[in-house]
Amino acid sequence: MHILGEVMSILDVSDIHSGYGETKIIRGVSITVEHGETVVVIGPNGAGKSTLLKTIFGLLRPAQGTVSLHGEDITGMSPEKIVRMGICYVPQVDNVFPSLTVLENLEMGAFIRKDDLGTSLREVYKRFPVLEDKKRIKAGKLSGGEQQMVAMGRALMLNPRVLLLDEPTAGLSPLLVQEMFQKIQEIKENGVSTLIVEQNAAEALKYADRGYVLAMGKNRYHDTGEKLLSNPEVGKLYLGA
Amino acid sequence: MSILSEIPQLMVYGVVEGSIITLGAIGLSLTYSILKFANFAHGDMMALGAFFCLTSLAVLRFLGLEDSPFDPLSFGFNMVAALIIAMALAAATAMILDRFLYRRFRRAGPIILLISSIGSAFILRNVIQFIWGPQPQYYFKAIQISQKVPGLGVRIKPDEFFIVGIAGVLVIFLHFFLTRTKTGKAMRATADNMDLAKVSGIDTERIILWTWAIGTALAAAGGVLAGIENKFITPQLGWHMLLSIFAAVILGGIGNPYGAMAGGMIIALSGEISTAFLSTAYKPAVAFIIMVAVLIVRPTGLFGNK
Amino acid sequence: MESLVGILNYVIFFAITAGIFAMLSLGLNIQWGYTGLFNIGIAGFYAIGAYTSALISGPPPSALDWRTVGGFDLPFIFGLVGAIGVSGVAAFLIGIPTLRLKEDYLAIATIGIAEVIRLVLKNESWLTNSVWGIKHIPSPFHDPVDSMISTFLESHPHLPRWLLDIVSNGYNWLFLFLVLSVLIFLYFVSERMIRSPWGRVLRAIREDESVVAASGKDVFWFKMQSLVLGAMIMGMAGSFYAHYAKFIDASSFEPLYGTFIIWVMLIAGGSGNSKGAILGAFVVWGIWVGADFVTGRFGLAGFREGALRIIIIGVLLEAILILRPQGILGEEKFISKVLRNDRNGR
Repeated sequence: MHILGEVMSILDVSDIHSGYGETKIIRGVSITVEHGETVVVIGPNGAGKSTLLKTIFGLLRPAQGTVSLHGEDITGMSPEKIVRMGICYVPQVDNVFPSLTVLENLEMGAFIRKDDLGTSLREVYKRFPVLEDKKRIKAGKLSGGEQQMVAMGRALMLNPRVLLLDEPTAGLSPLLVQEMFQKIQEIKENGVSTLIVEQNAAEALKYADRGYVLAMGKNRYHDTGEKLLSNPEVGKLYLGA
Repeated sequence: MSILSEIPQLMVYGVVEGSIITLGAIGLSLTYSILKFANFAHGDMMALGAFFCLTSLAVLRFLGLEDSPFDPLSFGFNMVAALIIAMALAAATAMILDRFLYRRFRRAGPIILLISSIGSAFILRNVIQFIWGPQPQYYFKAIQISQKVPGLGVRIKPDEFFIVGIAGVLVIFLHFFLTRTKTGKAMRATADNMDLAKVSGIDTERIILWTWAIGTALAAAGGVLAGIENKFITPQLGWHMLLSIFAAVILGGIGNPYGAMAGGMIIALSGEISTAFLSTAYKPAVAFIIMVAVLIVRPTGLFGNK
Repeated sequence: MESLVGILNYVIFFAITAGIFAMLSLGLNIQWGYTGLFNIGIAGFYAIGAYTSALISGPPPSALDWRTVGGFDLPFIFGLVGAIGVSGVAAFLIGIPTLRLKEDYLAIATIGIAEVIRLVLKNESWLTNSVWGIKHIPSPFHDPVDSMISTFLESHPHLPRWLLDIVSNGYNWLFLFLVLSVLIFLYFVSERMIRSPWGRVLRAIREDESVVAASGKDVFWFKMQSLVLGAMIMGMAGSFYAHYAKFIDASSFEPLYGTFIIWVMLIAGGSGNSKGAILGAFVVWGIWVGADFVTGRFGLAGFREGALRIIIIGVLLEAILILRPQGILGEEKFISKVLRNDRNGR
C-alpha cells in the first residue's frame, strides 16, 4: 500500500514502553514488519520478547509508544478487536483448549467468522496432515509438537495478514524444530507476514528476512537474518553453543 | 430383612430427588467451571425460580388460563408455561446480578467472589421472603396418590415420572448445546482457558452471560420440580439443597455436567438409602460425608479429569 | 430521666452482645485475617462452646426434659474452660481431613461441618434437649451480686428513681466489665502473637503457602494451630453467650447469626486487623440494631422486618466489597523491629 509515495509497513511498533505494574520490562523498543516478511526477535530471557508480543496483541497496554497495522493505530486495542483486524497470536504456553477436540480447537480459532469453514480447514489439514488424522481427539491428549500444530492451525483459521508467534519451537525436539520452521516458511509463502519471538535464535535467524536483538528491554541489534548470524558479537552473546 | 425390602422404594425416591439435585448441580458446575468460583447463591436461584413460577401460575390463572391437567399429572399447560416464564425470569435476574456485581470482581480471585455470592444468597433469600412471605406455598391444591408400578413392587406418582423425564430432557438439551452449537463450544473453550478464548476472538463477556442464563434457568427448573415433588415451597428451599448440590458437583468433577448428573444421583440415592439405617434428619449429613471423602481422596471428582 | 436510663440499659445490652460478636470476630481474624483459612463454620464452634458450657455449668435436666446428661451446676469458670477445650478439640478433629483442601473447597467443607453440627445439636435431644433447649443457665456471680444489689436497694429507698434503676441493672454492668476485660485480653494476646515469629509464619502462609512449604516449615501444623486457636476463642464467646442469654437452642446458632454476620463484621472492620475485627463487630451490630429501629418505623409485618434487615446487611457487604474491600481500617501494618529501629535512628 502506498501513501504519498511511501510504502507502509504492515506492522509498525514504535518506541514501546510496556510491562506489568510499575516497572516496565520494555523501555523504548521499535520494530517493523514489512509485507510478506518473516521477522525474528531474539534476546536473552527477561529481555521483553514475550512482553512485546503481548503488547502488540493488546493483552498489555503500553505506557508509551504506538502500534500500527498498515498505518492504522491499534495501540491498546483489546485482543478481540485486533483479531478482527487480521492479526493472530499464538501464545507460548497453554495455547490449546485441552478438553476440546482438534477440530473444535480449529473451529474456535474461526469463532468470529460466519461463513463456511470448509476451505480453511482443508488448508490447515494440508499444512498439518496429522491434525486431520487426529481431528476427533481431545487436544489435551496430544504430544507437545502436535499441540503446537493445533495452536498454529487455530491461528491460521482466520487467514490472518499478520501472525505473531511466541517461541513456537519451545520444548520441541531438534527434528520438530526444523519441521516447525519449514511450516512457517510455507505459511510465509502464502503472503502472511510473521513476527516470531524465539529462544532458538540460531535456527530462527536462518529463516528470517530480518532480525532484531533485544536486551534489557531495548533494541540492541537490527539487521538481516544472514548478517546477524554472521555477526561475531551477536554470535558470542546470543547464539550460544 | 424388612430394611432390605424398603430399598427399591427408597431408590425410587432417590432417582426423583436425584433428578432435582442434578438440575441444580449441572448449572452450578457450569458456572463454577467458567467463572471459576463456587456460587453460594445458586440454591437461592432455585428458590427464586420456584417462586417466579408460583406467581406466573397465579397470573396465568387470573388471565383465564385454566388448570386443566394433563391426565394423570397434577398440572396442565399453564404450569408448563409458568415453568418456562420462571426459567427466563431467573436467567434474567442472574444476568443482571452479574452485570452489576460479579463483573466487578472478574480479576479479584475466587475468595471475594465466594464471599460476594454468600451475600447475594442472603439477599436473594430474604427478598423472596419479603415479597412472598415465609410460609409454605402450594402450586396445586390436590394431592396426588402414588400408584403401584406393576412388577417392580414400588410406588411412584405420575408427577414423579414427569420430574425425572423433564430433568432428563434438559440434560440432553444441554449436551447438544455444549457439543453441537458454536456458543456451547465457546463456553467449553472459555472454561478451559479464558485468555486463549479471548485471543481467539471469543467475546468472553457474552459467553459469561450465556453461562449465567443457562445455569440459572436449569436451577430455576430444579426449584420448580422440587416444588412439585415436595408439594410446597418456602424461601429456604435452595439453602437446604445447597450442600447436596455442592456435593454432587464435587463428586462429578467441576465443569463436567454429566458428572454432576451422576453425582446428583449418587448423592440422592445414598441419602435415601441411608434413611433405612439412620434417622432421616441426618440425610444431608450423608451428602456431606461423601463430599468430604471425595475432596480428600480424589479432589478432581470421580469423573473429573484435570 | 427514666428514658435515659432505659437507653443506658440498652447500651449496656448492646455493648455486651457486640463484645461477644467481637470475640467471634477476633477468632475469625486469626483463622482468616492472619492465616487465610476460609472458615464458614463459625457457628459450629460457637454452638459447641455454648452447649459445653451450659452442660457443665448449667442446671441438671428437669423431669420434663428430653436431655439426660450434663448439668453439673459447676461455677462459670469450669464451663468457660470446658467450652474452650471442647471447641479446640473439635477444631483439631475437623482440621485433620480439611486443612489440606484449597480455599474454596475448605469453605464448602466448613459449611458442611457446621450443618452437621447443627443437625446433631438439633436431633440428639438426650444431649441438647433439641429445640426445647437448655434453660436457666446461670450467669457468673449472679446470685451474690444480685443479693448485694437487693441489700443496697432495700437500705437506700430514698435515692432518686433513676439511680435505683441503674443500680438494679447492676449485674449487667458487671457482665459487661467481664466481657470487655476478656475482649481486651484477647486483643493484646492476638497482637502479641501475630508479631511473634510464629505469627509471621501464619501471615506468610496467607500470602503464599508454597513459599512457606518450600522453606521447610510444616504448613499443615501451623494452619492447625491457627484453626484451633481461633476455634477456642469462638467457643469462649459461645460460653459467654450461653450464660448471658440464659437459654440456648439450636436456632440460636443459625448460619445467619453465627456465621454470616461475623464475616460481614470482620470484612467491614478490616480483615487481618485485630482492631478492625473489634471495630467491625460494634459497627455492624450497630447497623443491625439501627436497621431494626428504622424498619420498625415502617410498620411492616414481622417477617418483612427481619428480612429487610438481612437485606440491608447483605447489601452493606456487597457495597464494602465493591467500594472498600479492605474494610474501615484495612490490614494491619507490621513493621519489623529492624525497620522500626532504623527509622528511630538506632
